[in-house]
Amino acid sequence: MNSPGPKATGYNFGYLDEQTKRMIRRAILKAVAIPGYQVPFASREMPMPYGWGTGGVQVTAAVIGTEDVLKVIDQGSDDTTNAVSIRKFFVRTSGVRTTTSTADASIIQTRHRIPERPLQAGQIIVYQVPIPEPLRFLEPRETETRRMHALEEYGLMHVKLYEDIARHKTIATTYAYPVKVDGRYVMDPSPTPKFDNPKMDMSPALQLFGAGREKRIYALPPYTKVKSLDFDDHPFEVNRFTTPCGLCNATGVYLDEVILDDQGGRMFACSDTDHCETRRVDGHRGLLLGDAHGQVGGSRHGDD
Amino acid sequence: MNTQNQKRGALGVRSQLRQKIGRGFDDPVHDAHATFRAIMTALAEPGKVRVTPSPADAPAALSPAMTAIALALTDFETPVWCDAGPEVEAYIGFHTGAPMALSPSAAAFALITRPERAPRLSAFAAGSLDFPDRSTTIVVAIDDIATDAGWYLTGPGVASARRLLVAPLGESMRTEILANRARFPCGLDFLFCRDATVVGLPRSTHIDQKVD
Repeated sequence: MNSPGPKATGYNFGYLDEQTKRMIRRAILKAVAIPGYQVPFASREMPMPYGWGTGGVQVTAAVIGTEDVLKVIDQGSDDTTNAVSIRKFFVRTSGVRTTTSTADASIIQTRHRIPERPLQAGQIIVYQVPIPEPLRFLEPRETETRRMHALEEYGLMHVKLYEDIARHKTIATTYAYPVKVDGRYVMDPSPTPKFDNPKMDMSPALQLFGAGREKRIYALPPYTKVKSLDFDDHPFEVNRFTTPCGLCNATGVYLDEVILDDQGGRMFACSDTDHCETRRVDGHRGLLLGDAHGQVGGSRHGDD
Repeated sequence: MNTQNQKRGALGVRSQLRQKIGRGFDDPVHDAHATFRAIMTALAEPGKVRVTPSPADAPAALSPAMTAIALALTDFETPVWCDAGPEVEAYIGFHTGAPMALSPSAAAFALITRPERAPRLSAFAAGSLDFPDRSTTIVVAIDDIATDAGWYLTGPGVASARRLLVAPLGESMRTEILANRARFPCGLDFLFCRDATVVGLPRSTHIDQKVD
């Protein structure tokens, strides 16, 4: 865990002004009280472009306090550009401690993955969401999708999944796989692989979703039923991998494909870098690790 | 000479204000944050008791938790309905700029210090099916909170049934709280306050009264 970094002067704690924080906090409270419902909020312009996680950043800024320990991941990795720059943003504007360890974090801001290590009670995970409306590609009009949510009219989504089966013999949706929250609202879990959907169900952690450009916040309180939509004869299934992680030999985790050369060589490695590094430190070795030191490929303590 | 007098005049007004209106949060940024986290976790895990900061100089008619909630969440965008009298209205108006709601249905927050004499809850905004978030958050002062007796709570935020007793509420408010879930996703979210503690009861919670 890193100690508080060099906090820049001239900013309010967490960058946002207090009125903005109050507005976002009120939206979060409504989102928590109506699980899966997208609460409109007055999203602010942030010092980063839309698509870089402005929604997640605003939610984190409204929620974070001096006692928090922040972890930021992008596609499972602590070390990619988006994760590094958002982590640095909060170090500069709030001086909070940061970590790459899932276990040590009190707030985890994520782009497109849920850590492999099960989240704990008391932890908060903040998702960066590009398109919060699960029905948007089926019905472009906001007035109509709002009505559909109001009337619980989700037949169109089932038609879409059915057409997948008719065309591909299986539900071909692999990410942003729609879920039903506590038997009421159909929700977009953000573009996480459907592999992660079961982790949302009855999670002990509080899950907050922020969409900056689309100006929506939604939430899943701890221990909320989250069901991936499916059919009786085509039940929901997660992706399976035939090989274990090439670095840490883990099975049952989500793997990234890494191209090794221009001769068709490839390997599969954990997308969750913290999980992979923790396993290597614990002595697990994958086939492709060779003679390398177990801790190769990243430090446990980030780069801030 | 003239400047001197004007200064004294301004100071005079300020000292009058200081007598009438107590201080807000000692540390507005971090006290507001601590209050918000208490409320957020209270609504995320219904029936669990959370502790809020205690503003040192809160008006006598408001508990520390209710005062902290008003200071942390209200501002010019949120009409407040309040039954605690002009001292509290002046305190909230001065510190937050929140207007007083002309009717219960116009309120974003209701601060109810005498639940037995409160208006019917149906008078407050419950949101619409299109916009269920456009509802009143009901902040209620109560004398007793117990988590080993009373209602059985289930639903989002509750791993297995949790118990909650809040009293006194008055028969009409009690009945309306029990009927709240049936209106989901419309409905009211409750924050029950005693001293510097708060318990949340969002509209998503199922309440069962089964007898022991």
